[in-house]
Amino acid sequence: MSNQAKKMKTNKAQLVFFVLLLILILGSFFVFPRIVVPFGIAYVLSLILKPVIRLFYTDSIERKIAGAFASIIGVVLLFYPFVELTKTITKESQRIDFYLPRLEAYLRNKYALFTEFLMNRFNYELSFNPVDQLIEFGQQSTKVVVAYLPKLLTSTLELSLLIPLFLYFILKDERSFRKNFLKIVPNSFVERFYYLYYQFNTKFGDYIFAKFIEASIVGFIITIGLLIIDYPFPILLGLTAAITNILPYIGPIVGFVPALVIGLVDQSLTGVFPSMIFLYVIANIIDLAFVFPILVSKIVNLHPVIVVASVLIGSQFAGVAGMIISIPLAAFLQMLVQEIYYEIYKRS
Amino acid sequence: MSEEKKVLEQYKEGPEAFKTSRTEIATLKYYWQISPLSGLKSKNIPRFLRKIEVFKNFNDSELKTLSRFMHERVYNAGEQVFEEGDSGFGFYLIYSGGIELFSKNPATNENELITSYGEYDYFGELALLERRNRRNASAICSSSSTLLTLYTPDLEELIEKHPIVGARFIQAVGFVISQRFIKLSEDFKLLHNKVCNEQPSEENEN
Repeated sequence: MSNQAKKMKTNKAQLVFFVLLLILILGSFFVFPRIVVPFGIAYVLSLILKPVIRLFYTDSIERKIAGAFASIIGVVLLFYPFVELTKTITKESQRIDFYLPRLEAYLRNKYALFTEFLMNRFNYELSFNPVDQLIEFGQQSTKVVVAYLPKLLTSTLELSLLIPLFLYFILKDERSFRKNFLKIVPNSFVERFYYLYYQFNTKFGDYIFAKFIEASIVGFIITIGLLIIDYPFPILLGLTAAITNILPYIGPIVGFVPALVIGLVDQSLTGVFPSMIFLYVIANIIDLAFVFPILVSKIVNLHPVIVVASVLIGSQFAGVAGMIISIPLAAFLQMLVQEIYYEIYKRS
Repeated sequence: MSEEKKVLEQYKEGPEAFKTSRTEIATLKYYWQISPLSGLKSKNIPRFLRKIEVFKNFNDSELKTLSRFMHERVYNAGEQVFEEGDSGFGFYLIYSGGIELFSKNPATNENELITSYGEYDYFGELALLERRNRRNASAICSSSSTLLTLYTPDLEELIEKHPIVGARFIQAVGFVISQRFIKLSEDFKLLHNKVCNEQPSEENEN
């Protein structure tokens, strides 16, 4: 066999091995969810913590120590508020018992008024009762949640052990792992592969970090505002606003709905109801006018239609997690298409 | 008398001096430390970088940091490192072996050899500075080669984590580009003079 043919064979073997390994890694995402979920959370946390690590990372501080320190911060960041909030949320949740019968009565009352209006105005009688269906659905969902609770607790315990472990090793060994992985990338496309990997990681990391900060700011403003105007469930509503804020466009509206429902149901809140609406509007204006343009817009430069479409597609495939990752993924795909376009059309 | 001076004196006296004196741990340690072969590898990456002119501003610790961000890649003889027109994201140092740079002649559409590089040479530096860099020549290994590479993402990470080393590296790349530019302008001057000198003689002939 000639030397040239031998080289070709080696190159082909390298390529096949690399492609198979990539398929294996991507395939494991679907086959081992018990590993992939904590790993994914640890990865997202590592992206949030990377700017923190940069703050105290110097030559004198070993990467191991930096990683361990950041892991501790990550765990505290994740679990301390969780533990503290659980107490408050439990307290606030007990108050929901007080609101649920009121909500039911409010809905039944409104439904009765609506059917009466239809009867008097158009002489039409509604044949179905959505309020009963809604209440039945609520009861069924509660039963499912209660039945699922022990399983949820077990998986939370498992996650609380695995996430810090994965987080520590991601922070400590990410670079050496990346360096070793690049060794098996064939020479012919190592430059492009590494560049795309880096772009994806940067876009994803920057987006997650920016969204985390943005959600925290919105949640903080709403919690403080609700505490000042003495509105019920300030922490729960602030947390809901922060979490829903991660979703673009529809998020702020979804986050506003629980506060609106509470305000409509509880007649004693009529006085502070306009202040609550004003607070949500102000929080979202601050977000749209200051936080979003400074933090997020430079990272994701996508057309609004693409953003909405990608969120819908993401939710269809992976629920809430899909909605969150869909935007940086869409930004990466846009960049990939631009690169391919550039490669094909502008090469000459 | 310091250990170093003592050993030097013994060395001047000749091998007999060593026979009479007792072998001391300190002496052994001294020879071990001055030996260019001490350490695991006689040629490791920081030592290799030390021998490159453009990295003379780096101290040993900075070279060690820089070497941690570099990738060692092995290429077969005749294997292409990159092709003319490819997007470029890496700067290469020749650790061992050799590289030939070819450029396509638009008239004949054939690759023509521009230059050859050997050990301790470097190429592809523009890729680190330009956003959408296009390689202006094809690089092919003339023999089995080991190249040290610093890719754009590594440089960004280096600047973020070790700003001083990053700045020194950018300065080094600046030196490389200025050297290439000086060479280019000298070539251009030569060419210009040649063309100017040829033109009057052609006119005289006419």
